[in-house]
Amino acid sequence: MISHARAIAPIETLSMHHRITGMLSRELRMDAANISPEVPLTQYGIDSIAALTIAGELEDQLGIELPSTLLWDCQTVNDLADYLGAELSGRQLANEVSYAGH
Amino acid sequence: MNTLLPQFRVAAELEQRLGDTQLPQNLFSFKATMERDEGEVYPEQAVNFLNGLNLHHYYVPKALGGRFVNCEEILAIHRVVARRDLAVAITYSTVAWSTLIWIAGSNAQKEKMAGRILGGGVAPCLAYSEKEHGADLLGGSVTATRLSNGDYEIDGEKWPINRATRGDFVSLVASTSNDRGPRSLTAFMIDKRDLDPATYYHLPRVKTLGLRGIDLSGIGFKKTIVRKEAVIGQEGEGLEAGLRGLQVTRTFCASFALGAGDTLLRTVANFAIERQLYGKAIVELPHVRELLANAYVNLMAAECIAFAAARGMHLFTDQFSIWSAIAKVQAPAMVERAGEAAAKVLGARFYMRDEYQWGIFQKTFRDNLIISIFDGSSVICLNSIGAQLKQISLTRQRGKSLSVEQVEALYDLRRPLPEFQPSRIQVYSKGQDAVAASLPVLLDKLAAMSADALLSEQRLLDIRNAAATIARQLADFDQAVISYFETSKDSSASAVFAKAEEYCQIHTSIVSLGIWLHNRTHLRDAFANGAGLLAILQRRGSPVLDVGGTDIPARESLMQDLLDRMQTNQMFSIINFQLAASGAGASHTSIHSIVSSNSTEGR
Repeated sequence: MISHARAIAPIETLSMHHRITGMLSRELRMDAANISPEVPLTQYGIDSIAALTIAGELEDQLGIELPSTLLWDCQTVNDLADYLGAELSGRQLANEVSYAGH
Repeated sequence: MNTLLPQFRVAAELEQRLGDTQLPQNLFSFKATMERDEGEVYPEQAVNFLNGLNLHHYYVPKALGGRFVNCEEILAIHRVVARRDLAVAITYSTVAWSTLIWIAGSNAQKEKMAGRILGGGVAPCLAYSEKEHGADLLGGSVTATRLSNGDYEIDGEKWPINRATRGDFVSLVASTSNDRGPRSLTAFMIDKRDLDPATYYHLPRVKTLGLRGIDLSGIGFKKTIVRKEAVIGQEGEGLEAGLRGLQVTRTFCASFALGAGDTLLRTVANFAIERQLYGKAIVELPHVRELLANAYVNLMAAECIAFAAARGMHLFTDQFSIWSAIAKVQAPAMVERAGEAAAKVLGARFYMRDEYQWGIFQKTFRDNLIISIFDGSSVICLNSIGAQLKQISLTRQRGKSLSVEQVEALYDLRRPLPEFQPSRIQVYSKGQDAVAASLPVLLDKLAAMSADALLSEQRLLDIRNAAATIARQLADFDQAVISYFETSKDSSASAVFAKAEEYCQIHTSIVSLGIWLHNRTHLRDAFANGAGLLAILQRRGSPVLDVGGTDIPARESLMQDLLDRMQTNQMFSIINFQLAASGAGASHTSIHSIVSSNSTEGR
């Protein structure tokens, strides 16, 4: 299971939100404005194929390797933005918060 | 030429230890197998015999004191046992479920499991399925409730489970959360010795069509306390552990099919040689030759799938979510269709339980049908492949092909393999597929080849044309998959299942080409001439026998090879694998005493 840190600079998180929402909007064929960062992605009809596609696209766009279970652990846009922001910033994840039980 | 490759030496020695299948007093003779089957007897004596040979050591990694190093070796071992009695092979192989611990267990769990297996040949059973939920793991009813001290209380029943009653460990997946999400399951490796016997029970043995003696039963828990040390990985990682473990065992399943296939074809080929009708042996009849030759082609294809998968597990471990599912669908399908063709030759005797060779054909035929059902049925595997196709096709369109060195490492059976690292198994392969990515290199190698004493100009030309067709098929396939998912999100539609089946067939064509190109000069002459490969490619990797479609020279070449395998008492294989000699008794000597491939060096 992956862990993540929430201590991300706001600007990084904002741009990450934008990227993720744009990707979801294309994948789900819905208006980006209607995708809330706090709503579980499954509620927008993300199925296993979309989950794999999104994880793959994120890897390509960001140039980093992501766990194959990314969308099992990051279930909202906020979760994804936090996790990816932390990965990209290369920070030591000192205060890891496990997603177990979330 | 013809020297047995090191990875097959232990299996070859095991084959000799088990003795002649025709000698009734041998525990692994066909007669003894049929007595177990007819009596529905659990094969305890046979399992103990294998433990006596120290076979269980081959399931424990070398780093933990065992002898498991090479996936090719374990596949070959399974094949030898499976050709004699699938019920024994399938019972014995539950030891392989220790793989969950090798993948995701703690050091303490690894040491305990290794010690228990090496010390006493104990085995786990895999308790995933439930009566009301089948393969729907997330929908399961068995719960594990965490107590204040960190231990768990388990409730519910798992059924039907191979070796549930006689297994020493239970590899269990249970719900630790009510949300039914991918993190709602937790995996446990439970030593039955650690449980209060008053809190669990076994369910009665299920009566089955084949594998009649096996312990297919179940296990029930009533507020059973399981210590926190039994959790594999962390709480919430049960689905992940389960899916990763299945990738190993699904790949191993190909070897059961290969063993069964050998007995099915061997029994019927013998019959065809002995049976006189219309004034001659029926093996002389063109239609019989066509059926036998085509069944033989299916076994070759299944073997190429198995060999490539065994090597791929070492080299491309993180791609096995797709690869293991393909092997699990396609190798048994090849053998099932071969068995159906062979049954036609056997005629009425196919339907008789104790005629001809003690009835071993009908038993093996029945037993073999389980392979495409357990460890995730063909439907489940095709669904899993279908769910990954979009990503695979998209990745391939922008991806690179493998290097010449990578392709050689994958297909050349003489090349040493890096250590198998089970912890590298991933839940999803992220669109990577080394087999399809090897095709450009294979086509270049084929284009650079010349005809020789064993390979005619015409055969080479035919193979080139057939391979070009496969390349076009793959390109068309990717385009069709991408187009489909542009307009639909439904991965469980029949159209996606059909595409998943086609992908299994493309995979078959490519691995068969790869194995042939890289091994034709050092195996057997009959393999070098390409007759079998051409038949596989012209069938586009489909398991469906194209009777009437095989060209006569290719058919006769295959038949000549098949009859040579019979006369020289060799396994139906692209390698030379000597079977136990006529009249040979079984031997109890440990198989450790021989030189094994238990080293990846010096190959």
